[in-house]
Amino acid sequence: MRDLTLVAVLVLFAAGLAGVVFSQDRRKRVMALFFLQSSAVFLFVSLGYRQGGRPPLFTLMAEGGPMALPSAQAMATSFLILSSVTVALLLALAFFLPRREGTIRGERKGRSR
Amino acid sequence: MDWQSHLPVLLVALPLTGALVFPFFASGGRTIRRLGILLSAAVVLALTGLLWQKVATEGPLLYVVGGAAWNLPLPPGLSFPPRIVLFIDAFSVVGLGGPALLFLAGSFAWAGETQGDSRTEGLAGMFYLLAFASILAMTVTGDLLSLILFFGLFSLSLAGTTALSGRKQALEIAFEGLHFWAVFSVLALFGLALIYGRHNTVNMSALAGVLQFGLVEKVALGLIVALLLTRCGAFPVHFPLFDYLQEATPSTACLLIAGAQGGFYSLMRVLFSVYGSPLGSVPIGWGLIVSGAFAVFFGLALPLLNRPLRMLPAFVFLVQVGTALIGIGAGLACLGDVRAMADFGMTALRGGVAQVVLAFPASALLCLASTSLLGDEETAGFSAVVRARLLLFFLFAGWLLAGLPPFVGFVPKLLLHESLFALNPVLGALSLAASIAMAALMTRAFYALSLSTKQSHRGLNRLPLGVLLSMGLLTTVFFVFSFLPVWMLSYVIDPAINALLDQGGFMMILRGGGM
Repeated sequence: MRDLTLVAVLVLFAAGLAGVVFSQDRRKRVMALFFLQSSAVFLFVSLGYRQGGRPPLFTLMAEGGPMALPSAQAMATSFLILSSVTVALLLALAFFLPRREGTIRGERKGRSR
Repeated sequence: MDWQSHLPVLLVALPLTGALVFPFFASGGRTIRRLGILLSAAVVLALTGLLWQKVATEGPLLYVVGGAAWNLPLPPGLSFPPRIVLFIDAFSVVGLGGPALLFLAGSFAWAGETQGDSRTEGLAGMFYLLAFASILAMTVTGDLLSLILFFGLFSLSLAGTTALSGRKQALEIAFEGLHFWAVFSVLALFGLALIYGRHNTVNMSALAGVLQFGLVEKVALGLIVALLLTRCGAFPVHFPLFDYLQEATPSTACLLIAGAQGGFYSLMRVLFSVYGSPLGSVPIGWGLIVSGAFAVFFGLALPLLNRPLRMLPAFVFLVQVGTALIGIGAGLACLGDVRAMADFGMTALRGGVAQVVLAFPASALLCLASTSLLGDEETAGFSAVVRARLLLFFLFAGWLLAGLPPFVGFVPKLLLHESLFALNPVLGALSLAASIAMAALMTRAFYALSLSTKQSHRGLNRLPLGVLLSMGLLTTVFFVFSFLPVWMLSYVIDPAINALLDQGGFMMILRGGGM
């Protein structure tokens, strides 16, 4: 089961990385980023899995037994929320920019740095 | 119960709450919006001062968020803290001081800027407060996952603030920067997931006690350090911060530089406190030195050859980042060698930390002065009298950044010159040449700005009060520190370095070492 999860993480990561690196369209780059973010959270949550363990809840900690760290699991979910907001803002910018530039492609303008 | 026990969480919660309620009060009028931002900044600075005093008298502070008891990180029977722990020692206080000061300076500038209608201003204020709350949270948090989380929140808020600034390239820069930082955040999360999978904890103090420095830890370190270097603006991942600085309004410049200070704080915390002495035997210290040397070289060579004046603050800041990285890298390279650390490593580290504490706010002062001097296409220029006043601030900032006595800017440069020469004479020569080249660059820029008459006839006769107060605040702080360089080293920098290098104390904090 865990191996399957890791395969899913790998597939999501590869798809996301390919999109981020190779795509010129800003909107596709944003969606590829969302793939990357989801794969990272998926990996984080799945690595917390404990064979025969309890759900990661603070109230169950007193009963003992194997358990993933509840705060880390909760914060991984927070990261997912942050990812969604980041993607929303990036998409808003990606849709707004073409109105100004006349193209959806995101080549940099060659500003000197 | 003493309310001051809750200072660590109040420091983050107050600006965060301010950010969340800001859009609701934004329709109340321009004065309310400005007062809200200024009040938040003043409260944060006051809380930082209280924390400083508390840490100096009582030692490191610990705060468990959401637990039954705020001072019990390890409930009976557990070996790792189950909840998020906030941790503040002398190094954290120094890490908080710079951003808190820049928060107030930036808030004065924010109050003087025209943001647009009440809705836009409400959003801009929310992003602004959210960004500073994220920097403070990055500094006080005791676990790596929330560090990455707040890093992401900071990038998001920064992009929002920049996008709303109305500058010509702002939208494109906001998009590219946010996308870049988000990709690095994901990679760092992958690194942290590897550590979490192996050790079942993300708490920094707990990790410091269990990390074995195997392959997994090395990969994780690389990914997390890469993320933090992007926040610091280190070469070769400097360009988002570099682009943001070019298009920054005065308030956003303060925010960017405070963020870089937060990045440096987190970088040092991870390298020295979490990983610690095993890093002395691997070339990561030299990696930082090489990165810093390139930053110094390009940051000085390109503007000296010929670049628009608008890019000057970004280049100058790149040099300051490079110089700080060289000092910190030199300290890290000596970590495994007790004698080298005592001979020159400690001095280099003092120089690196002093550089972050002093030269970064000085860069903010330079940004404020040069942004006002150059103006932008939408605003009229200032009259000759006002330009002369601005040039005084510019000159003062340039003086500090070139490391010329009697002002306090010479302190980090002197420490770095003497220690880097002992580590490697080439580095010593580079460090000296960088100071001379910086003085030349500042002279050239001052010459160009003071002789420019392009806008002087158009004439606004009054400098916006917000920008004036912002520059005045930073100038006053530097003047005071200029009279107290030894005090500053003894009571600010040295306790911070001692706390940073005390990895044993950092590990013990969860087992009752904190107050």
